Amino acid sequence: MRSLVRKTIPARFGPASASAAEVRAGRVPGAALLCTLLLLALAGCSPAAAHPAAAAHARHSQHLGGYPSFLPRSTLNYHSDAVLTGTLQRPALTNEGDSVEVKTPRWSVLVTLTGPQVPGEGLPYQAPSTTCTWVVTMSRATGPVPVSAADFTSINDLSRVYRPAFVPGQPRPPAILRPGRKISFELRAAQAVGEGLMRWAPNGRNIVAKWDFVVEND
Amino acid sequence: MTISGSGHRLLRVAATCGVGLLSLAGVGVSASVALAAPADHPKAVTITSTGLREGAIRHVWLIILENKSYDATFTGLNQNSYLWKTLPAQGVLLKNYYGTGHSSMDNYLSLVSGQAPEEDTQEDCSTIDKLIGPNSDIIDTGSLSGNYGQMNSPANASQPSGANAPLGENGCSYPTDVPTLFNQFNAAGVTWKGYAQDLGGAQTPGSTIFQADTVPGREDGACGGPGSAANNPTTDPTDMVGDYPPGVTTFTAAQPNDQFVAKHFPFPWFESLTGQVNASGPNTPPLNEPASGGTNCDANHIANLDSPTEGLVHDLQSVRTTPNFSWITPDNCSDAHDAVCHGNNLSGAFNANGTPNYSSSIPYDPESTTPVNYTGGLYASDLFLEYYIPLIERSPAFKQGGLIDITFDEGFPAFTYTGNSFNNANDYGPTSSDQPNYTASIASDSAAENLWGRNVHYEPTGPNSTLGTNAQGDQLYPGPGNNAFIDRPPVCTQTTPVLVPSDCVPGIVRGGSGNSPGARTDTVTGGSGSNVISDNSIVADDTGREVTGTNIPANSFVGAVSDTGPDFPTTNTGLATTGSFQLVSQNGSPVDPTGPVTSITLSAEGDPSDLAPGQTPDPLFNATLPTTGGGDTGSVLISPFIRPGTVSDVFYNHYSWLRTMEDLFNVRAGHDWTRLQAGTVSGGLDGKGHLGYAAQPGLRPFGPDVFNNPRGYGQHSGRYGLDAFTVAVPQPLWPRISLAVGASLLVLAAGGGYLWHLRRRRAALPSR
Repeated sequence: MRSLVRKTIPARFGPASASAAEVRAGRVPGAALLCTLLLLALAGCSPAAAHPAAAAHARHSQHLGGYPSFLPRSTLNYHSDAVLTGTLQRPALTNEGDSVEVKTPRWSVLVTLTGPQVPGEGLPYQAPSTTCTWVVTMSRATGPVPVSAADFTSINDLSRVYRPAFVPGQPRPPAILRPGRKISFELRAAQAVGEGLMRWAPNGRNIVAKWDFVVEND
Repeated sequence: MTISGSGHRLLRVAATCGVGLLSLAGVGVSASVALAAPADHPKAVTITSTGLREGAIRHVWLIILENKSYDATFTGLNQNSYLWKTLPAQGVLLKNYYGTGHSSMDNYLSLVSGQAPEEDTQEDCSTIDKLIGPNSDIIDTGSLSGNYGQMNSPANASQPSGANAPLGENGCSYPTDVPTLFNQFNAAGVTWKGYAQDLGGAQTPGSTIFQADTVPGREDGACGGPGSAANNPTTDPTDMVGDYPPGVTTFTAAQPNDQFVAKHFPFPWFESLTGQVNASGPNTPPLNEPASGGTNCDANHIANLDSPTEGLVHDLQSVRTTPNFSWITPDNCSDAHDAVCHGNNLSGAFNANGTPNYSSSIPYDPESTTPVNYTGGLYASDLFLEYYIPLIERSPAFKQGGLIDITFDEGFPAFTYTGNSFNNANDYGPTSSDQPNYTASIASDSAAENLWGRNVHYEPTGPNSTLGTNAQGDQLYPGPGNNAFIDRPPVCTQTTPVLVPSDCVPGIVRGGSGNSPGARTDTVTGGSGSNVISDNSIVADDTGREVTGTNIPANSFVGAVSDTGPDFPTTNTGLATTGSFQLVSQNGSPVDPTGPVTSITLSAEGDPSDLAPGQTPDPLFNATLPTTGGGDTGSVLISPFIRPGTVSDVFYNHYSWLRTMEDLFNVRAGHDWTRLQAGTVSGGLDGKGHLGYAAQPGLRPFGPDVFNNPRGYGQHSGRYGLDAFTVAVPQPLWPRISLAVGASLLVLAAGGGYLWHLRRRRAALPSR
C-alpha cells in the first residue's frame, strides 16, 4: 500500500514549483513571453522549440505546485498549536492558553498563561470591571529564571496598564526557577472587561511574551 | 538602376516587413481569438445572483464538519486556531450561515437535494433504512406553490396531524424521482466525486497498514450505504439498531476500526443515484449516470479519501484528474463530531514543528501514522484541515477557478452542557451569552436565509415537519430543529378521563427532545477544606441541582460549573474534559464538605412551573418555543474570486448553498429535461435549475458579498467556459503566441539575411 502510494504520488512541494504555478495561472505573462521569444530566437525558431515548454507544462501539471500568490503569506505553513519562541528582540504574541518558549542569552523556559478566571458571571448587574485571575506555569528552565509578579503587566484595549499581584493566601513561587523544576502560580488584578494582553518582561524592562485574552463577566 | 535597385530593395524590405507584420498581425488575430469565448462553449453570461461569470468557478471542494455553532468555532471560545483564524484570513467568513435542521443527516440531504428534514432523517436514520415512499408521494407535481417537490411520508396519514410520523415510520431514502445536485451535474457534464475518510477501509488503531473493507457489511451498500451489498431500502432495508453483521457494532457512530458513518455521506440515500431494487426483481436504474462514463457509485465517483488510486491527493495531481466538484466527508473523528476519537485523529501526521508531514514515508495518507493522542472535536478537525487544505490550495485545479468551502452541518450550543465536545469547555465557565438553558438551545435551533434581499429568520418546512401548537401554546411537532437540546413535555399514555402523566401534551410528536433528567449519582473527589468538587460528569446545565451524599451538608447545591480542556487523551477511552463545581448553599454561599466525598447524588429535575417534591427546575425545559432550523454554524470560503480576510453578514443556509452550486455550474444548461414527478433534473422546479427549497423565489445564493473579487486573482476572466471533459486544462495561450512570434522572427531573420546576402553579393560585383 505505502510503496504503491510512493510510486503513484510523487512528492513535489518544493518552492521552485511555485513559479511554475504562477506561470500557469498567468501571473507572469510578460516574463513568459520574453523567455519564449529568447528561446525561440536562440533556437533558430525551430517549430520543435515549442515542445520543451509544452512538455514542461504537462510535466508540472502532474504535480502539486506552490501556493497561489493571493493567499496571505502569513497564513501559510502555519501550525496553530506550535509553541512560539519569544526573545528580547522578538517577543511572542499568542493566545492565553498557549505556551511560549522564552529564550534569553542566559536561559530559556517554557511559559504558559491561562485565564483570566472571573467571578460572578452572568449576574443581573455586570460591573464594568472584575477580578481577574491568571495561572502561569513555567517549566523546562535551562538556567536560573527570575520569577516576580512585578514582571507581569496587563494592558487593555484602552491602553490602561494593570499590575497583577500574587493571589493572597496562595503559596508564593520561588524567586528563582531552577532547572528541572516546574512551578505554577496565580496572578490577580481587577481589570475592565474587554480585550486584554498580559505581558512578561523577566528583566523588568523588555517584554518577551504576550498573551491575548478577553475579560468577560456577562 | 541604383534607384531601381533601391526600389527593389525597398520593395523587398517592405515585403519582408509585410510578411512579418502579417505574421505579427496573425499573432494579434490568434491572441484575440484566444481571448474570445471558444466557439464550442456557450456564450459567457453573467450570473447576476453570484456576480461571477459562467464558468469562473471550475472546481469546488466542500469539506463538511459536524455540530458546532458559530460562537464555538469562530469567536475564539475554542482552540481551533486554524479554522478560527488562519482560514478566514485566506477567504471570506460567512458569519450567518445556518444549518437547516437537527440532527445531522437531514442537513446533508437538504444540501444536495433541497428536501426538508423529516423525522427519520432528523434522527440520523437510527432505526431502519427503508424507502420514504414511491415517486407518487412526491407532492405538488411540477409546482412551486408551496411544496417545492418535497417528499411526503406516507406514514403521515396515520398521524392525527397528517404530518410528521414518529421515528422509524417515515423511512430514510428517497425514490428515483427525487433528483440531487449530482444528477444535475451528470446532465450538465460536470464531473464530481464523493470522498469519505475511512469509507470501505481504514487503518485500525495501532496499525499503519491500510486494510480494505475493515468491517465487512458496514458500508457495503450502494454508494457507501449502511449494511451489506444485499441491503437496499426497498426490498431489504438495513436494520440500523440490531442484527449487525459480525464485526459491526454500529452503523450510526464510529467504531475503532472504521470511523466512517453513512449518515454524514449523502449519496447512498437517493435512489436517483443508486437506482432501485424493485420488489418484482429487476432494477430501476438511477435517474442518470455520469456523462463521462461509469456509474454514480463506482470508484471514480465514490471513493475513500486516502485511496492511492482514486483518493483526493491522487486526483489533485493534475487538472485533468480533478473533478469539478469534490464532496469531502471526514470521518466521525476528523469532522469534529467525537470529543474522543475511536481511531486515528491524524495527530501523528505532523512534524515536530507542527507542520504536516508530507514526506515519502507518510505518502499522503495521514492515517498511516500512529496518533500521539485521541483528542477529537475541533482539535481533530483542525488537524484534518491543516493536512488537506494546503494540498488543495497547491493543486493546479485550485488555481484555475478553485473554491474551497468549509462548513458545518448544524449548530450546537456553544458551551458544555451535554459533554459531547471538549471544545465547548472553557476555563472560566459559561457566560450569559452562552446560557446553559433553553434559550441557548433555541438559538442553536434557529433558522435563517435571505429572501428578496432581506435577511429573515425563517426557512420553509416541508410536509413532514409541520410547526404547530395546541390551544395552550404547546408545540406539537419538533420542527426542523427537531426539538434538539431541549426538554419537552411527555407523550400521553392516557388522555381520558385524565391525562397520564399529568403533564403530558396530547398529540405531541417529541422528535429529538429530551426528558427532564431524573436523579443522578456521580463518582467525585472532594473533601473538607475546599468547596470545589471534582466531577468529570458535571455539565453546565447541572447548575442549581441539589446535592446529597456522605459529608455533604444539607441544602447544598451545584454552583458554578467548570469544564476545562482540552485534555489530550492518550487512549481512545480517555477523558477529553475534566469538570468540577462549587458546592454552594441555598443562598449561593460556598459550602465545604464535612469530610471526604467520593460519591454524590444530584436531584431530579422537572418542569419549573410544576415541580414535584424533591425536584429542582430543569433549565432546558420549554414547551412553547418552536425549534425552527439548524442554528448558525458559520462557514469559510477560499477562492481566487474571494478577497482574503473578508466577512459577510448576509443570512445563508443549506438551501442557499445548493442554489449557489447550481448557479455556479449552470446546471440548467444540462440536457436532462425529462419530466419527473416534480420538475426536471436540469431545470429543477423553476426552470432555472433549482431543486427543492433551493427553488424558493427570491432565495439569494452566495452573492457579491462572498465572491467579492469577480475578476479573480490570476484568473483568465471569462475565457473558459465550463467543459469538464475537454477543458480540464485550458488551452495555453502563450505557446500559440510564441509560435506566431517565433515564425515572424524567422521570416524577418530570413528576409534580413537575404537582403544582407544581396548587399554582400552586390558589393562583390565589379563596379560598372
